[in-house]
Amino acid sequence: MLSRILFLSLLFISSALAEEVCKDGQIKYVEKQKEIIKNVKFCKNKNVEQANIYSVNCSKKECSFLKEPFKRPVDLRRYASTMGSAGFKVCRELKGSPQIVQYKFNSDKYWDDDSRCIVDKNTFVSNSILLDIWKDFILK
Amino acid sequence: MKLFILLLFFFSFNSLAEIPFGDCRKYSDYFESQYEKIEEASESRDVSSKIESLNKTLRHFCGKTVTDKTNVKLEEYKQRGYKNHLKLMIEEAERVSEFREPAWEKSELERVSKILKIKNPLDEKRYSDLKALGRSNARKRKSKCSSVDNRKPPLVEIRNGKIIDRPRDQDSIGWCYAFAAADLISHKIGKKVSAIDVANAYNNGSVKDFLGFDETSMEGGFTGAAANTILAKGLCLESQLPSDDYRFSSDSNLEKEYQKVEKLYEQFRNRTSEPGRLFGRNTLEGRKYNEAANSFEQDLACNKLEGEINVLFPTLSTGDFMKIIKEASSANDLVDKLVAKSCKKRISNNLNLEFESDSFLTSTNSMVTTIDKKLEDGDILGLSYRSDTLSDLLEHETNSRHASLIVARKFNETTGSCEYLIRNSWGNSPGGTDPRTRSSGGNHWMPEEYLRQTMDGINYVK
Repeated sequence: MLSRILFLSLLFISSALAEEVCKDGQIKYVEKQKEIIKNVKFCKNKNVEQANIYSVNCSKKECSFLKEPFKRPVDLRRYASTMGSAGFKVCRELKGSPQIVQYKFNSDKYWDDDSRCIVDKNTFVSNSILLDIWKDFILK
Repeated sequence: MKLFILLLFFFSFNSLAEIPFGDCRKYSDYFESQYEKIEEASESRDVSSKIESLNKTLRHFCGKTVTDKTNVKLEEYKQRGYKNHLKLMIEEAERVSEFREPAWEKSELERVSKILKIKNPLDEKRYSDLKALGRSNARKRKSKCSSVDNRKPPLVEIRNGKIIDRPRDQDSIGWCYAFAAADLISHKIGKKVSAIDVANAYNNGSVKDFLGFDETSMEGGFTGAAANTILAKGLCLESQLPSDDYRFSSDSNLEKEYQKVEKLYEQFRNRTSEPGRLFGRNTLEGRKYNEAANSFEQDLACNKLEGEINVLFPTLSTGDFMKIIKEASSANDLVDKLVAKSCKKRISNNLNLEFESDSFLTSTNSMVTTIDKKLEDGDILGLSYRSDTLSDLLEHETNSRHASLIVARKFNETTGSCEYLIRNSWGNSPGGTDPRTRSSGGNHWMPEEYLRQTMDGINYVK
């Protein structure tokens, strides 16, 4: 009984700390020189301006793409260190497609910027998140 | 011969008694390089977390046996790293007390001393003295470190009274100095200046230009010189010559598109020429030339040729492009002419702006005084520094030379540091991950005590 209470408390606390919000919104990007707006449900940190976005299946950063970065270390030495954020480079090395986007939830008025790493049709994660998770497994 | 190579590999991978195969060998270069970095870093820093990360990957690819054997040497580096970390933290505690209380350094000393199960080498009396000195210096500094934020449109958006920063993104092209120079000028004139045009103007007449290098391979430069070059030539706006990566299709970027333009020149020359009798190529003449050129133009108009030139040069028509490509003498010349045509209506330097640069001949104290004065005057400054400091505030000697902007200042009540906001040109991704910079939206708060170590120079309007 006590362990259940403890478990539930920990669950509650960890949920509150994460402060993630996943809602319906729009993501805008350019493809074949045309601006595309996609209606999509995605997630970001709550109450943070220009927060980093990720797909719903990467909620709580728990999708398989983000797991065990030690199994996919990245070597960035062929890129000069001053050319661009490591996020784009890491995404490419992990066989993802980096993309600059603008996004907003349907309830928002303004578009914000981010760059994301597209893994597959349903999975994407902000390059900033990617960098944070991979930081100990990057060689530069 | 194969046995010789295998033996050579065996002896080159320190302390390994078994030759790695498969993925272990595939990643051997990664392992070796990380190992060398750990060895070097242990001469000054705690490397335990780097060793832990390396071991995770080693164990996964090479198995426990290999990891156990490499651990013997890595343990030696770990212990060395701990001891040297203590020395470094004592030095840092002494150094930073010129600016603030050395609380972070104390916590590092306590952490590592606990691991080594030894007494903290910085005795309480000495720490008390440094703490008092640091606090006194922080109080004095606070009075001269009032909050200033000089970001304004067109660099940022103001939304409900809040600043929403939209840093530029140079992506893979080494024109950080041009992006910084363009923003410095944009801040003064209230219009967004083309970073591409700044780079192009700066590169013209350079040694690489003289040697016939392609535009995209002419990388690196000086912010102040670039700003003054474009001010003398006349300014071109982003709307005429965009540098914005967002505008390109998802699988492309600025560098790729410029490289495609350079390739278009080669394609045009190949299609409008034929092999010479002995060597080289001779330009076709008369009807043959016209037919080849017309065919090329048709392919260009129907998007059959690779390249988003209408995105790179939105004010130019296919006809404009064809006229220019026929006149160009090289790929570089083609880009120069396309830029010139795009930027035909240049804005004169009506404000008589001129930028000064301070670098190695100027003392750090003098540069910081200038930074403070310029920020208080409402200006922003260019900064040359080592970008690796963004990932690790103690890393300031690597060859990671970069150019960004200093746009704001504030006093951090928690740490006691005067901090400067570094605005980078890597979009809104963090340049680094040192949590003490509170990296957000492409910007980083750099404490003064680290800025002084990493900066090579500053640029500001006279």
